[in-house]
Amino acid sequence: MERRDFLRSGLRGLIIAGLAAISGVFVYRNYTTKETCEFTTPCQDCKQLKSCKKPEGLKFKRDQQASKN
Amino acid sequence: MKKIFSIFSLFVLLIIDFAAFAQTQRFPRPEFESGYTQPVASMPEPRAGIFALVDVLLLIAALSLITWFIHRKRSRTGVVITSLFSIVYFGFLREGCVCSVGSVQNVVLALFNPGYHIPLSALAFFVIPLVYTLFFGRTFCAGVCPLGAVQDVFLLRPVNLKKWLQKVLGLIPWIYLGLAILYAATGTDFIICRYDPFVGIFRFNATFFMFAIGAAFLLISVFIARPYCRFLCPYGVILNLVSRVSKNHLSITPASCIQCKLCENSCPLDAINKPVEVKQMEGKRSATRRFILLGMIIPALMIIGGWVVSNFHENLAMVNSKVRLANELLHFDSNTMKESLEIEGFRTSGKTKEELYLESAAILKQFYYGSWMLGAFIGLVFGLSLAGLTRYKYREDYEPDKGECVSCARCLKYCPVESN
Repeated sequence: MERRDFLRSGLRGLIIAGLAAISGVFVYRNYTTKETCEFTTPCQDCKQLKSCKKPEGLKFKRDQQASKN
Repeated sequence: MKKIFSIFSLFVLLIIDFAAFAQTQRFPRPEFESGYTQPVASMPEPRAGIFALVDVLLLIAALSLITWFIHRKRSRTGVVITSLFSIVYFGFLREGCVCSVGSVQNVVLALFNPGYHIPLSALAFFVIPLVYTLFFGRTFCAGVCPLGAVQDVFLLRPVNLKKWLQKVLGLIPWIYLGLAILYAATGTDFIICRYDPFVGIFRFNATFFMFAIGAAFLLISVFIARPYCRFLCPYGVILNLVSRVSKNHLSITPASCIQCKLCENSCPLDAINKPVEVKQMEGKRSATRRFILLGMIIPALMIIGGWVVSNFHENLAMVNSKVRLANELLHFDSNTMKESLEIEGFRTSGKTKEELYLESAAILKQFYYGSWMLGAFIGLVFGLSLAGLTRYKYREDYEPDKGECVSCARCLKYCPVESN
């Protein structure tokens, strides 16, 4: 095996290991912890949007209204 | 070929029918006159999970199919068919969401915010194309990404840009990726999704501004191949890096290159590397001097970049709704100004001003450190690009540039060599 091929295959292995580790951590966290993050960009999927008084929710509703008009 | 195409079409039709069937409300919900309200279902909605799984399975199927078309069949027609499917399914039917380009932000948010649960489909859409790229090159860009596919079908009269212009414009995706990471890491916004030029077209609900940008990109695509992919796409940057170490990348010739030069100008992305003659070895002293100079320039660019961008951290933070609201409240005078919807919403939320200011200060601090890192990152990219210009690489044959090539398979038909 050439030096460059050796380095490339090493890097490939590292990337795969990194992706596997990150995925594993995220999946494990999803099933073992409670979600506390308040980040809700996709307001359209939020079930509380209708009664939402948060600035983000209000802005989203106003934008929606503007795009309809 | 025809048989495969008919099986594939049948499979797609079945999937679409299944989706349409599952979405129909078979029994209307009863309305009670007594005022009884139906309880909220305590179980998660099963359809979302199933459809997310269907999306992921279709992504894997499309990636496998296009990889087979490119590497085994060496067929441009196959790439076009897969592109059309991706535009229809991942573009118009799924309305461009979930997409791998945007999933970068989900991953970043999950990395920096342990309280965020990343949707598994978003994680799959981030990881799977990377794994395929690692083994087969950017086959995802070739025709599975609806954003790339929609630009590719518009390419009618390709014009090659000057190399220096490509190099300069090629720096933009790095800056865009850096900004997207900064905004996702601070939980501010998903700017890639917000400013995606094609999603509004796929959803038929684009604002005039975004529609104009999308239409401009499509118009440019008629002459310049994939302008969004090459000069803006942040996921393309990651795929570009990963593809450089790919195990089996597309090759122009199926056997040995006969140097006929027919493929030389066949790539609309200018992603074919030409043979480079053997050069006389550079003197040791001059090489050492160059190495030291670059070793000093790169850290200097990183420090300058970090300092410059950190000076703008307050401006960058203004995208954050909490920082904006705190700033608005700070300058609000009830005697002379009318209360905005945001301030009204804040008053009804029951939160105190002090709490908001504290939160805002914490976010500003995150932006200060984040903008230092962003600036250093941009400096590093500039420095490495400069270093790349001085690099010499001997090459015997016409080869696709493993980073830039999106495996569109256009060059294959130019090669007169037949496979053994």
